[in-house]
Amino acid sequence: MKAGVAFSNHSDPGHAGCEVAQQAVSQSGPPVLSILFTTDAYAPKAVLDAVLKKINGSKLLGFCCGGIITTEGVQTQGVGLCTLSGNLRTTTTLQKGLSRNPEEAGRNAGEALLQDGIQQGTVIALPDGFQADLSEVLRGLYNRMGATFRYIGGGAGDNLKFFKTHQFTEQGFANDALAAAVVDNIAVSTGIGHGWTPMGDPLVMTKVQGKIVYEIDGIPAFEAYRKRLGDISKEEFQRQGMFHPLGFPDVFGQYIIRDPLTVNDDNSINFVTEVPSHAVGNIMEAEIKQLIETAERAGKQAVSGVHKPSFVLLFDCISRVLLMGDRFNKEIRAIRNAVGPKVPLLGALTFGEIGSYEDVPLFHNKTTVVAVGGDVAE
Amino acid sequence: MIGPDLIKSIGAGRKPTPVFDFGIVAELSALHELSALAFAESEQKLAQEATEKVIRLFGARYFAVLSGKGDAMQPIICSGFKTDTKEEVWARMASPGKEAHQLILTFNEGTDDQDLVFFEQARPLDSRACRLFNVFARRLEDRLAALRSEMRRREIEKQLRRSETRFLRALEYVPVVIAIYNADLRIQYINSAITTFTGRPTSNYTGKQDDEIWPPAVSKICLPLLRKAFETGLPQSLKTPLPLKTHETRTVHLQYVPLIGEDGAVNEVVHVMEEITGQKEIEP
Repeated sequence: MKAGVAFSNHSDPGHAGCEVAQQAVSQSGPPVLSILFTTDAYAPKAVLDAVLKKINGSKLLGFCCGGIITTEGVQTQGVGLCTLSGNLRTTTTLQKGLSRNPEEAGRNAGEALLQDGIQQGTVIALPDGFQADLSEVLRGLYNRMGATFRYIGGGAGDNLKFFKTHQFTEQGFANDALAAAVVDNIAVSTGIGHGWTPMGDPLVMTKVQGKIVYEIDGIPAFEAYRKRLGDISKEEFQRQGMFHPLGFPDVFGQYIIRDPLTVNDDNSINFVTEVPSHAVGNIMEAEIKQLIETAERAGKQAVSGVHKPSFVLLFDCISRVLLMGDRFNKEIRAIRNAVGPKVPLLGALTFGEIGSYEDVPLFHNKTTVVAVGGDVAE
Repeated sequence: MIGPDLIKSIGAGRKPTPVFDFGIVAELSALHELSALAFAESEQKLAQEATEKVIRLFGARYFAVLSGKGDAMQPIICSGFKTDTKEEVWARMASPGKEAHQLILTFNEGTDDQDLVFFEQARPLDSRACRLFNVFARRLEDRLAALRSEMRRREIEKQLRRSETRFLRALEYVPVVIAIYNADLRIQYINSAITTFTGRPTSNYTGKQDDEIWPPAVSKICLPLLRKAFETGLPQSLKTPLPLKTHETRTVHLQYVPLIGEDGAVNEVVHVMEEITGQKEIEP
């Protein structure tokens, strides 16, 4: 198996698409699967048409994300492409109308991915990050495909404009959709981590509806936060919340993170992703150093499962960039050092990350998911 | 004996080390959360909530609840299976080498409400996971039982309502006047035969006493019978001509049947009035 990775920030979408496809294919040879990341400034049709012309009938999977990660660091605008060639088997699907019935969309995606008879491997799921209950999408996907697959991916975004995102396959592009692929006959190993630790006593999510937390411990959510963080204003919360997400532990002591966004007039709080009702969790805290160290550990964990790494796919939460600023590039360097600096790397800044601590995929926030691919051991 | 000097010397130079055991915090949080399972309002919502919790809290690769016994056993909750059939669940439960990763609990064994809860996680189960999953499964089972009992109660209520509706509809078609009086001697119910009999709608009668609806000559006959039924607890019966309107007298058979409550008191009286004018005319 061979991989090719390319990035372009040429201002013309068609030109950028053509450029990345030529470069990536020249490294990998004729691809079987192409993974395309774009940003909001690039017209999806123009990029997709240009890429499809150059990849010779390869299956394609992609989305519009909050920024593209290359070996050079984060690119706020541009087009990135990873092409994979060799004897791998793959199937893709584009499920539209994700928000109408997220669980069913996930199931339908699973059904479509199983149609070609692939029974194990890696599922890459790239849903719209704004619209639907993505935990439900994942549950539907997992319940149809089962535990014999590994799941990675992330939610599409548009550089925090919260307007519209796009998902691609070789069939076309859509919004409010799930683009997904299953790939077999390559070894993929993943690592996941966030670096957040709990502070103070646990809290109960007493009133939750989807992404809005109305009450924590029986009082308005913002009041509960203020009790822990001090007398902060709603405006200050946008920054404080970034440093203090909620974390919900599993029985092994691993925390799943939920990222708060804004406070409403009724003192409820909007989150990036659905918060489970009546869950018990903590307000979290972290130091930048911990975040970088955890990302490095995720890289080490991922690379340890592949004999000869050929490529790295990275799904990193956009809020980590906002939080870390220039130091985010240190995180990328740490991951590169962990997986091997010469292994081609392409990543996306996502609105929610798909990965698993155990075997079952969960939707995470403020988290880094590293996937390392390579040949299956003889 | 350990003296203060020795204690001082042991502690000398040591700093207290803060201990934060994420495992204990996680166990306490999970325990707290599992108690909230009682909030689910329907079996479908409970299934969703249970699946969400079992995946997030336990990282369960496979999770199923099979309900019923023998051939009637069916999966009511399934996660991680491709076909969601009991055969697939059975096959997974029997897969060799997975025993250390699996937990199978049976509730209400041998009854129609038998539930089998199956759980498998990626890593071998430790005592904490076993302990917590037991709590989870019991909470789930309690809630399922409560939901089933609630469902049965609703079904019985539905049947009762259906039966009541059928009975009332039957009463409406009976060609005799039937009324129910309460202890204040007011009509609680009267069927539409009264409309055929007097030409006035039932709403003219409901909630009223006899002296408010009948001419004095009629209520003078009916009221004493009604009162007597309430007072004695015995049925009253009388065949009599009734001057319902000026120049119109009809012969009726009046019956008053007391309804005696569990406390022995007469709470209501059922009144049946059948017109027998035609019969009287042909009697010799």
